[in-house]
Order: sequence, then structure tokens, then C-alpha cells
Amino acid sequence: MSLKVDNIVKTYGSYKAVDGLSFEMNQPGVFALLGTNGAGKTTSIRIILGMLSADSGSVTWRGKPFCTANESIGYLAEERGLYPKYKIMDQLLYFASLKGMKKSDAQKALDYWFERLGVQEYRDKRAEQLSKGNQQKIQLIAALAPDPELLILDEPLSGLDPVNAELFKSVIREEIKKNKFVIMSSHQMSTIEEFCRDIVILNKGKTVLQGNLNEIKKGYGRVKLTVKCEGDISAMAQECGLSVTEETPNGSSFNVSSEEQAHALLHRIMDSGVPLIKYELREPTLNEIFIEKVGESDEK
Amino acid sequence: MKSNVSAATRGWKKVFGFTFVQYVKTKSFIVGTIIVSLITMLIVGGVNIIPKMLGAGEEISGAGQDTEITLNAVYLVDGSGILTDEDAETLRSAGLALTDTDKSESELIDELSKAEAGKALITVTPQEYDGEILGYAVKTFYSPDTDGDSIDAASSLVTGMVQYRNIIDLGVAPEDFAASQRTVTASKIQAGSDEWSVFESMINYFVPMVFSLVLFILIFAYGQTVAQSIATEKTSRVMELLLTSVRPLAVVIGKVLAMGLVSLLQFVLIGVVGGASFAITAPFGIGGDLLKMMSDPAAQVGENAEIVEAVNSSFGSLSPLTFILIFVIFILGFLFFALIAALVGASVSRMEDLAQAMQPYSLLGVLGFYLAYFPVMFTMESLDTGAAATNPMQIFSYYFPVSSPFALPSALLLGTLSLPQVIVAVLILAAFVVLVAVIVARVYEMIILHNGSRLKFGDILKMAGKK
Repeated sequence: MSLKVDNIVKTYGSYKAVDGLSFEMNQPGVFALLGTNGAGKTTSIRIILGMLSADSGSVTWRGKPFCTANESIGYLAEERGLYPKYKIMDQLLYFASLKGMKKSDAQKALDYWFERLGVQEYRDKRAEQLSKGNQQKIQLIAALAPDPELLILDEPLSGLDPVNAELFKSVIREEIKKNKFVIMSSHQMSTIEEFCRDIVILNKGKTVLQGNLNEIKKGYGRVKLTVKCEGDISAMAQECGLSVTEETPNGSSFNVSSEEQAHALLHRIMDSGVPLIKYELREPTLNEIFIEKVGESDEK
Repeated sequence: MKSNVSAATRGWKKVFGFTFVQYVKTKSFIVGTIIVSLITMLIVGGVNIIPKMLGAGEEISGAGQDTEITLNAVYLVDGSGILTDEDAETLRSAGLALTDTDKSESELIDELSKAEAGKALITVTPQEYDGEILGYAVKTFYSPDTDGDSIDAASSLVTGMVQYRNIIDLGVAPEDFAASQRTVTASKIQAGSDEWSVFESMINYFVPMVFSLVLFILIFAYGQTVAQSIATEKTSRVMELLLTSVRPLAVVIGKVLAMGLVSLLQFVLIGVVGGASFAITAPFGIGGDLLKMMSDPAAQVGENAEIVEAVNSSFGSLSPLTFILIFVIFILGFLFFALIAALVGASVSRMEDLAQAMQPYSLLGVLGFYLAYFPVMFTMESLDTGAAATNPMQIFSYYFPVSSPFALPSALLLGTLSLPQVIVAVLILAAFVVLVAVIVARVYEMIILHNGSRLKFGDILKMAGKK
């Protein structure tokens, strides 16, 4: 077992920011920490990083209490931060030295990452002279330069243009290949689905869903049906006990209780002779699961 | 316990090194140091040279004691009739170019107002009351652009002559005149107090004032820089990145000590420039005369001897321990204010809130400064009484930790407090530094990651109490 977060609780006055969060990362890969705004993600990350102390619970790394000063850890915060007036190279060398890197090693690592992220020309510039996207690249370099075993990425792609978002994704893929432990927090569910194996969904500090993403999806089964025909199929759907949940140019969406219910609708359409353009029966997306679970939690 | 402290402060040296190097590279530090050094250089050089150019320092160096009177015509109108022909001859032989005239006083004044330089009219009139002479008035009218020193010397000669004739006319033998002029000075000294000469009074007035001002700038201004630096790290979110490597206490310690060193460095640089300026201008200025007087026993006569005695008496107790203690007080004072400033800087979430958050800190600093500065003004009463004038408020400022960093160093330098008294004052200051450090250690981790409304001082103290 590598990272174990065990029943951590954090309260501010009468407000419970984190209420009994537990999860484990037993092997390298990406773990997703999801939640709405104010769900307790950043507080949880700060507790994991040791910036905040939990009221109760523990965080252990390889069986020992987690201490950021002792461990190799990289952190890309949600709200980016660089010294606005200092030269980029000076501050990156400083951050690396705080991580215990020798200057020569840091220099070498920084040279690599400057080249990899295409920001060589900014090394002697002040942070305030850089665009938001380039500042984000510098932040990512600060997180990656010490070659950490554990990488915590809080909203890594927010504010990036598609080209740079793809660049960041490729870097994250490389880190995964290097057997890194990555905790990722994001509102971009497609990104989470692309990278993450295990997830936790938080709402108002409480865990509302947790587990392996594939298994969660399998648990739901193929319950999302999208059909596009050249004619009206609403009557046929009603006969099969289905009602349209969403109507888009891509077709009509239905929530089915079983695959048989979907197949029944397909047979009716085929029998009716209405030309069928699209028939898709799939597992729910993470976005759909997220909305459902958070909604259920809010109703309680 | 020891390992907890060690873990909480690990990495402070790196924070210290980075903060120091980056700050001394900033334009504000470089330009500020150059400007203040230039001003110091000009002030020291100016104070040294300008008085010399204006003629000051001649008494110190022994020159100029007998001013040559360059007046080419002096009309003497003695309305009192006290001066004799013999007196007029004496004045002539002393260098006064007395010139006879038939013109009236008003005609002569009118003439002088249009005359070329070098002419003067000296009138002697009796001051009577009820037929009795109470005194004499000597007035000197002079033509435009006439040498001031010559006018002073001429006026002085005639005044002295009137005084002399007045005493002699009263029946005092000429050989007893000097004895009749002996002065009597009065002093009112509380038993147990030291006696101060005029020069000692002045030293005990100016040294504390200058010291309190310089220390206030060094300690208070750089404390503000600590607050600004921490607030910048917090509001720019750099702090979150730092806290993945070091504990908040290490950030505070590294930053406070780095700014303390910056403050000392700037002080030393300015001091070196000031010293160099003094050394360069001394041969041409009053400073050179003073140094010569201090080192030459032959020059230490009359007033000069009093100056030398005052300097020796005021600074005579200096030892290496004095300077070590001054350094310790500076460090403690800096820590006291900088740690409070660090808390203030950490309490804001937006830079716009910093100025408002700094108000209590500023109030505290200004209170400390004025407590150290204002009581010194009362030492001027020693000019009248001759008694050492250290008032109760001044004594309070030495022991009160808010003011002692600004007040104690000069008290040490001048020997105002005894060594045990200084040690007590330093211990009180140190105790308060520890108290502030404990509060910082208890609450800093909580407030540095607090975002949202600005934390007030009361909120911070509540946090410290709860933890």
C-alpha cells in the first residue's frame, strides 16, 4: 500500500469541510478527487499535503505518517502562484532547492522541462511578463522538476487552449508511464475519464461515490440509449415504457432499466420501417454519474 | 519537542538565502540605498565643510580669536559722557578707526545708509529712571556690506570699555577690574543626580534623538517590508507551493531574518559612505578641527576643554560589550516588530487590504518611536539647571518593549543606564519577543491558508488562545 487516506475530518467552526474521507492508492496511476465547488477537494488536498492538520484521521505513505518535507511530491495548485517580480529561473531553482535538489541536478531537470514545454525563452523573464498559459507551464515545471513519486494536480487543464491542454495531457501520460502516483482534481470529466482509474466524488465534505471508475460504470450497466431516426418514435418509446430525457440534433436520449428494454425499442423501430440513423446503448459517462450522485446527495 | 521544532523550521536557511538575495537585487533596494547614501554623503560633507566656510570652528582650532577690525571710519557718539579721552585713545590703539565729526546722530545714520562699506556709528546712551542711571545702551549702525565680524568686534570693544569705565568710576582700582568681572553660575541639582555641562546636555539631547530616528527607520520600515513580502506570497498563492516543501514557521523565520540582514546591510553601507564622506571632508571641515582638538592637549583650553570633557564623560564607558548589547537589542527589536508584521501580512487575502491591516502595526511602531523620542526633549532643561535630566517617561521607554528597541541603544552608548539595568531591559524585550514568537508559531499555520475576510488582531489572538 502506498498512499492511504483514512477517515480524515476537518471542521471550520460548525462547518464540516471534509467528513470522513478515506481512500487508498495501492499502485501507480491516476486517482480522481471530484466534487462541486466547495465540496472539500482543496481542503482534502491540503490535508494530504500536510499544509492543514486534520481534526481526526490520518494520511500515510508507504505505511508511515505522510510528511511533505520528507517525501518526493509535486503539486500543481488550483490557484497558480509565482513571484510576479522575480525571474522564472531564480524562482524555479529556489522551489527545487526547497525540495532538496542540488543546483546542478535542478538545472538539468529544468533545462529538460523548459524544452519539453517549449518555454525556453522565458527562463530569464519575470513571471508578470508571461501569459496565464505560460505561467501555468512554469508551475507544472515546478511540480515536475524534482521528479516526484506522488503528483497532485488540482485543475491542471483549466484556462489552457486546446493545443496546450493536449501538451499537458501528453506530459501527464508520460508521468503515468513512469509509474507515478497521481491525484487529479478537475471539473473536466472527460479528462478524468481519459486518465483516472479510481475516483472519489465529494459533496459538501461527504463522499457520495467511490471506487474503480470502470467497475462503477459496469455497475450501472449500459443504461443510456440514444436513438436517431428519420421519423417520430415517441409513441414506440412510450409503448416500451421509455420517455425522452433529452432531445438533441444527435437524437433522442433515454434512460433504460435494462438492455432488453432498449432492444425492444430497436425491434419496434425496425418493424415499423422508420429509417434508423443512429442507435447507441452505452454505460453512463462520468459526467452523468457525477450529476446524478451529487443531485441525490443534495436531495437527502 | 526538539525534533518538532527542528521539523517545523527545516528549510528556513533556503528561504533566508533566497529572500535576502532576491531583495538586494530589487530596484527599490538598490535605488533606495544609493539615494540615501548620497544624501548621507552630502549631509555629512555639508555639516563638516559649510560651518567651516562660514567661519565656525575657528574657536576650536584656536584661529580667529583676535578679529582684525577692518572698519575705516567709526563715529563714536557718547550721549552718556561716560567715556573719557583716555578711553577713546585705548579704543584707537585696539584698532578702532575713531573719526571726529560735527554731524548729529540722525545725520550720520542717514549718511551711513548711503555710504560705502567699512563705516560705522557707535552710540552710547544712558538708560535712566527717575534721574538714576540704570544702565547704558551701546548701538552700532553700519553702512551696507560692512564685514560682520568687524562690527561685532567694534561693538564689543566699546561695550567692554563702557563696562570698564563704569566700574572704575565706582572707585574700583584698574588692577582690580578683571577680578570684578568674575562670573557666578547657578545650578539646581537633585542630590544623587549627575551634573552636566552645556555640552553634555547637548550630547544627551541629540544622540538619543538621532539614534531613535535611525533605529525606527531600520526596524519599523523593514518590518513593513516583511509584512508586504508575506502578503505577496500569500495573495499570489506562492505560499501554497512553498508549503509543500517547508512548514510555515520556516518561511517566517527565513523571511524575518533575511530582512533583518538586509536592514543591517543597508545601515552598514550607509554608515560606510557617511564615514568615508567624513574622512574625505575632515581636512577641509570642522570635523578635522574637532579631531585635532580631541587629540591635541594643547588645544584643549577654555571652552574646548569643556567639549572634550563632555565627550569623554558621555562616551567614556564604551566597551566591546556596549556594541554587542546594541547589536542584540537591534536584533530583538527587529524580531519583535517583524514577527508582528509577519502575522499582519499573513492575515490578509488581498493586497488591497494590507494598508488597512497594517494600521495597528503602524500605531504600535509610532507609539514606540515617540515614547523614545519625545522624553529626550525634556533633557534640554539640563541646559538651565546643570543637572542630568533623565525623566520618568524616558526611564519607562527603556523598559517598555515597544519603545526600548529605539531608546535603549543610545542609553547604552551614553551610559544613562547601568549594566544591570540594561540587562533587565534587554530581558524584558527578549521575553516579549518570545511571547510574540509563540503566538506566531501557534497561529501562523492557520492564518496563512485562511482566505476570505481579513482576520483582525482580535481573531488572531483568539486563535492563539484556542489552539
